[in-house]
Amino acid sequence: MKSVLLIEDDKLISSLVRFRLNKEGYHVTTVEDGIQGLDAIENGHHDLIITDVMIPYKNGIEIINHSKKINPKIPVIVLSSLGEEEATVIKAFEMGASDFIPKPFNPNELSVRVNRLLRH
Amino acid sequence: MTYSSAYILAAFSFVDEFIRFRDGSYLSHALNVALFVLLLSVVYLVFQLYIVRSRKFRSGSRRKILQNKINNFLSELIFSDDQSEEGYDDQISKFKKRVPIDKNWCKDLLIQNIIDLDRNFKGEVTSKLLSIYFKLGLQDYTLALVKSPFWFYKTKGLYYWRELKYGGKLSLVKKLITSKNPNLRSSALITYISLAEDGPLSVLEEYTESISLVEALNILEIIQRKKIKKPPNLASWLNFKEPSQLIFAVKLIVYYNDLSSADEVVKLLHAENPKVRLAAFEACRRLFLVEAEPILRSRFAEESEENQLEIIKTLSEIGSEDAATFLLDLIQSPQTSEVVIASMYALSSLDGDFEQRSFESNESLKAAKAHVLDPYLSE
Repeated sequence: MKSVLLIEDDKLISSLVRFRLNKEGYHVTTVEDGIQGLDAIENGHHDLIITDVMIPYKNGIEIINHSKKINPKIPVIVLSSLGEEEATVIKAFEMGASDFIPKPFNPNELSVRVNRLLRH
Repeated sequence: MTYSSAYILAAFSFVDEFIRFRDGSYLSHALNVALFVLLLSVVYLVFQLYIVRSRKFRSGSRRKILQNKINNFLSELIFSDDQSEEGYDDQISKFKKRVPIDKNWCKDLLIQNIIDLDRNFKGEVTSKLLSIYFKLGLQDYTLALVKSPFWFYKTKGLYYWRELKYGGKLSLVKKLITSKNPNLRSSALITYISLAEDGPLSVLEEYTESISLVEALNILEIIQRKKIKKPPNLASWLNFKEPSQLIFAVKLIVYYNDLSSADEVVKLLHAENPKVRLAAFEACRRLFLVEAEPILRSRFAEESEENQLEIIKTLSEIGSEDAATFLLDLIQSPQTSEVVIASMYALSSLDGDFEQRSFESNESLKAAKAHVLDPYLSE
């Protein structure tokens, strides 16, 4: 079973995304802040990381940077309500993000994008 | 005797010495009673603080437990395999038995969660939210809030309807627009414009109160978000008597780029109210009304500094060679430094020979020109 790490401080969002991805057959680990996120990246094995940009203690860009240092092959999807801000999008892609999904987003679309990254 | 008992005895002896007069008599009985009451009050206060703290702790953990239940319930409901009406009803009635749905704090939490879902998700998920709101029976609660005699409950109810995009009781919202309470009136106006489908802005024609800056910004945000069409009789809004409404009408004309109202906007350059004139100066710039230039120049001397700066800004965009000559004359006459700097910036965009112009005879103008040409200080 493929494992997904979800770093999101809004419990309602993470609950819904976890539920949706579980239905697709993924094991989802959820953490609520940047420090827990970095810890989970270092100590766990994940096939894909989904991170919000605005999370406590660290931001999504730092998470991408750290994850790429540990394993550059793990794809990272960035969720953000700062979708309109071009600089954030560019920075995320420069750091190696595989995809960027602005909030509000469709969980079914997220699931399709996760499938695309993990099954190809 | 232990050390603690010795300390207690010493403390008693100190208090005894403190409240006894030199002749050996004690303070009056009334004072003793007052001291006793004070001591009791302190004990009571500490006890009350403890109760409040523990109650808050209990309610916090209760909310946390409920939040987890709501998260699971909403996730299962939205993505469950059984999407039939019966399946929905079954899950909802089971959930209602597991949570204190009759408590207002629980209803508030549920509504806020539905609102959060609507803000963060789109697509199939959000289409189900309003039906969940109805099936949980939350519409009765929000209706009771809006019908409450207290304005703060009414605004809370209006906020819920606005965020849930529930326009089922628009007539009730419209009635509140004429409320005497400014907070309620404002909330009702924003809610009505946000929810009404047919010509939501027409409500402003009946609105008799002033429109604050915050209200204006909120309404403009709704117009932008909902892509509300231009009201058919927008030009006639420039006949509004109330200054803030008139200013808002000018802002709308700019937003909709309504050039058919250009003549009316130019007429407002002579309006009595300086704030209306300020809005008209800005509108001339944004609509690029070059015909306003001679009026702007002629009005300049009579205006406040704020309005003068707006005129200069507008001249820098729509001005001709005459405007450049006007600004050159302006900076050579006594003016405030803000006006001089703004005029210099305007000249730099209007006057093709600006860089060649030397202001050798006037040190302050020379410094102002250097400031304007400095690439690190550009506007």
